[in-house]
Amino acid sequence: MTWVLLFQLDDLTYGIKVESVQEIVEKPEQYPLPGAKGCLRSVINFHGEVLAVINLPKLCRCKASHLDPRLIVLTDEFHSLAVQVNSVGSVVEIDIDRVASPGPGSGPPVLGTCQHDDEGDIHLFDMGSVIRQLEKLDLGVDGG
Amino acid sequence: MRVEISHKFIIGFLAVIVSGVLVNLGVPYLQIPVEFQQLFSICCSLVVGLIIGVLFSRLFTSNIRHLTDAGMRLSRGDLSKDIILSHNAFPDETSDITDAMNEVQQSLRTLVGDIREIALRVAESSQNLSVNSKDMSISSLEVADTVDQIGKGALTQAEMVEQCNRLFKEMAKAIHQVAGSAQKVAESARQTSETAEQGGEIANANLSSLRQVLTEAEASGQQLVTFINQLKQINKIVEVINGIAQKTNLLALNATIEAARAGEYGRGFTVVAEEIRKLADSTTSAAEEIRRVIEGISEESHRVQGTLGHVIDEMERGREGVDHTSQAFIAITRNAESTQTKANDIAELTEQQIASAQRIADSIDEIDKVVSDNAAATQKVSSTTMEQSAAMEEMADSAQQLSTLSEALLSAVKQFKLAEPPES
Repeated sequence: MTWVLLFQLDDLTYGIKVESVQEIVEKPEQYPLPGAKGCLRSVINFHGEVLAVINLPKLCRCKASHLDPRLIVLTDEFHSLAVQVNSVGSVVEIDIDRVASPGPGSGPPVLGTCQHDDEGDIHLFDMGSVIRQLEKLDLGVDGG
Repeated sequence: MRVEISHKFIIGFLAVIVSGVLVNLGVPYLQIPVEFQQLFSICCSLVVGLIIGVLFSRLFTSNIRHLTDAGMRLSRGDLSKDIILSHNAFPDETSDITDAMNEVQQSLRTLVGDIREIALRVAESSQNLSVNSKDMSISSLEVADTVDQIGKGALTQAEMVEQCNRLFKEMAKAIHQVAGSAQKVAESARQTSETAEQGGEIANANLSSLRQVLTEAEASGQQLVTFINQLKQINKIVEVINGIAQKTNLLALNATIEAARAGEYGRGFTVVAEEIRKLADSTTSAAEEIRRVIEGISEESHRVQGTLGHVIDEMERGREGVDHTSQAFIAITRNAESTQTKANDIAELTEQQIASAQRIADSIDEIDKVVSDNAAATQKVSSTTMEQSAAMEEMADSAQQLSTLSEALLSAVKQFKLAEPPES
């Protein structure tokens, strides 16, 4: 069993393992980056650490433009960043063994899909793929 | 030296005799034969007598011719020259005749001059008289026309006076009716005044009730404003609760994440955090529900407040209307009282007018009689003026004839020549 944090992109429910989630912050002050373009526009001060704010719907070319005021701070052993989603959900427990392989598609990168009794289909979000995708993008600023 | 004609003849006769005597005395000394001396004497006497006769006759006839010529001039009217005798060394009766004729001539000059001057004045006066008579005749005609018009006017005046009399009688009847109407108006005004007083009392009572209702409505409006302010405060509190619930939700979410990251050790805490999060969600939902309810109540309160303000405005206008109505009733009462007083005054005045109209009608009757008399008198004056005009025309004709006569007299007098024109 694995705990995942649910969030919405367009009308689909995605989940990300809580091990990758450091914290959810509400309405932090965002500092625009001069000359930035695309999905990276600003940074935040997260407990003294400067984190880039990624507009995940824009990165994944979602249609919905509404953004939740809360930001999800993601981290792994090498990276930390804050992402904006259409809506932040709750934390649920899923059976990782019941996750099916994802089908072919051009949507956001996912590791697989599972069925939840209350939340319906949950797509496990592939954070590593997103970071790799970000590293390939020319964001108009010197990456670090 | 004056020598009368008879004396002159005697002197002449004596001269002839003296000459004959002297010749007889001187002939003997002339050596003339004796037989011829007598003849010579006679001849000489004859010659002397002839000479003296011729001289005397010339002297007489010369003065008489002068007198004859003067008489002829006088008969022609020539009074310009005095009569002067050519031989007047020894004045005689011809000189007396000459003086008498000169005096006559002088008297004629004066008389003719006076006649000429008087004729001129008479001619001028007769001309003026003729002109004045014509003017007076014209004026008399105009006066006659005017008097005729006055007569016609007097007739018209008489008709108008009669009509006026009739109208005055009708007016007297109308004044009677006005008096009756004025009394009715006074009665109506009295009733109007009483009704207006009752209306004013009712309006004042309504005004008092309306003021009380208005005061209560204003108090209700104030209470509603207080209620709306309290709703705003509740809404703020609900917003604070909502914010707390959202933060609680976030904290519960983060706690759930932390508990999940703790693995099996945080499982129980995860459940608690999830319950807290759900509780926060419920709180948020309840706060949102409260906010919606408060918003609905606030909107309804605002509508009630607006309606109440509208009602208060309407009641204020109604109060003003009732106030105006009360004022209008007071004004109506005053006007009705004033109308009653005036109607009574009108009734009294109409009574006086009736008496005055009766007096005027009597006076108009008198005027009618006087006007009729005037019309008759004017007709008489008109006929008299016509006769006067005819007399004036006759006078003008007589003056014209007098002028003609004076001109004829002047032309007759002009035959007399009074003096030679002065030599230039």
